[in-house]
Amino acid sequence: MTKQKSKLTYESALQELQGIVNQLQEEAVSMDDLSEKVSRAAELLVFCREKLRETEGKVEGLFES
Amino acid sequence: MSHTLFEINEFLRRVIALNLPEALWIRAELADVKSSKGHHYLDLVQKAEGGGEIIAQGQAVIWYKNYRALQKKVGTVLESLLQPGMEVLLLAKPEFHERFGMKLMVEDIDPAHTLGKLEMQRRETIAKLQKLALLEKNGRLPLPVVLQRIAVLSSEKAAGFQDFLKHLGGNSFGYRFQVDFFQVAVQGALVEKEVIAQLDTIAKKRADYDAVVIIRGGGARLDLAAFDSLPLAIAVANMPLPVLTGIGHDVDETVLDLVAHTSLKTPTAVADFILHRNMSFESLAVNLGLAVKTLTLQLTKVQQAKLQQVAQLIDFQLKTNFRRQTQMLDYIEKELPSLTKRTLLIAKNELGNLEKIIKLLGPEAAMQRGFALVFQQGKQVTDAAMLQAGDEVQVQLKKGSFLSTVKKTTP
Repeated sequence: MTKQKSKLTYESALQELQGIVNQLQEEAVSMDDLSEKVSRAAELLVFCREKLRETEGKVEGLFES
Repeated sequence: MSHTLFEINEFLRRVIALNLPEALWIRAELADVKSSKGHHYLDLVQKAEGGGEIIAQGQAVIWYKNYRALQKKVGTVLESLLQPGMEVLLLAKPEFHERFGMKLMVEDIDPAHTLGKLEMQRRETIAKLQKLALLEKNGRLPLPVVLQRIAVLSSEKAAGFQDFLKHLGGNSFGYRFQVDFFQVAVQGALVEKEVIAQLDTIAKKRADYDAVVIIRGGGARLDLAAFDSLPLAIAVANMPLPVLTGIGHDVDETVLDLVAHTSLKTPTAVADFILHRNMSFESLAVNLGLAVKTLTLQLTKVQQAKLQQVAQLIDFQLKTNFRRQTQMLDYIEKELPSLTKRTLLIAKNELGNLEKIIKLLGPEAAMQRGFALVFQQGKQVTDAAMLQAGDEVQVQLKKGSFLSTVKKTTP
C-alpha cells in the first residue's frame, strides 16, 4: 500500500476517486467492497487535498510581479 | 701664311668684344649648375622645339660678387632658379678668352620669365593629364575609413616631415599609426626620379598600406616646380593606393596636388586630415554602440511587459485551476457520505424484502395453513422411500407434535 502510494499521482488519484463516485452513483458497488471503496475514497481525498495544497504553496508568488 | 692658335683666339676675343660690347638678355635651359668658392658655373643648352635634341650649348658664370648682388635683388628664389631643367632668362655678356674659350658673364636674371615658363609648362601638363583621363583617377580610389598604415615619402631633413610625425604621434585620441618612411629628394632635379622609384616600391607592397603621403615643408613656388612633372603626375595617378599630399604651398596647387586623391596645404594639415577621418569613424562607432544600447533597452522593455502579461495570465489560470480542483474535491467529499448511506440503505431494503419472501415461503407459514412436517430421528423426511413399515416418525404441527408409526409406504 505504501509502495502504491508513492506511485500515486494527483491525476490518477482523482481519476480513481471519480471512478468510485461513479460506481456509487450507478449503484455498482457490492456490499463486500463498500467499506473498502469508501475508505479508499477518503484516503484519496486526503491525498488529493494535500497534493493540491502542496503544489499551490510551491507555485504561489511565482508569477506575482 | 699661318697663324698661331693664340693669334686666332685673340682675334676672336676682339671680334666678340667689339661686336657684343653690352650684356644681352639670353634665354636658355640649365643643364647643370656647379658652385665653387661662391662662383656659380652654369651649363646652358637649347633644345629643338618639341623634341629633346640639343641644338645649342654653352657655358655661363656668375661670379661671387654678382651672385651676392643677385641674392640681394631676387632673394632666396635665386637658388631655386639655378636648378637643372630650369628655363632661365639671363642678362649676360659674352666673353671670349684665349685659353678658356667662350663664356657668358651673368649680370642679372629674370625670375618672372622662369615662373611664366613653368606656369605654361604646368598648364600643358594639366591639359595632357586631362586628355589621358588621369586627373581624377587616384581620387576615385576608395579611401579607407580608418587610416593607420601610412607610407610617407619625404626627406628626413625636411621640417615638414618632423611636423607630420609629431602631429600624428602626439594626438590626444590615443590613435596609433604605422608610419613607414621612404626617403626622397623634395627639391631639385632628383625629385621626379626618386619619388617615382619609391612609389613603385610601395605599389608592390600595396596590401601593407592604407594610403601614401607625400610631404615637404614650405617653399617658394619655384621650389615646387619639380612637383609639376608629367611623369611624376602619371605615376601618382596610377598608384593603386590613395595619395595624400602636403607639400607646403600657399597659393597655387602643383600638378601633383591635382592628381592626388586628397591635397592639403601642409604636412600638419595632412596629419589633421588623417586624425579627423579616424575620429569620424570612432564617433560613428560610438554612436552606433549607443544606438544598439538604446534599442536593446527598448526591446527589453517591450519583452518585459509581454512577460509580465504572460505571468499575470499564468497566475490567474493557476488560481482558477486550483479553485476548480478544490471545488471538485469538495463536491466529492460532500457526496461520498450520502452515496455510501444510499448504498447501505439499498442493501438493507433488499435484505428486508428477502426476509419477507422467506417468511412467506417458510414452513411456519405452511404449518399455519395446516401442513405438517415429518422428522425421523431429528431429520426432516421429504420422501416416503426414506421410510419402512414400522419406523417411528415425529409429526410437527403449527401447534404441538405427536409420535406416529409407519404402516405402509407408497412411492
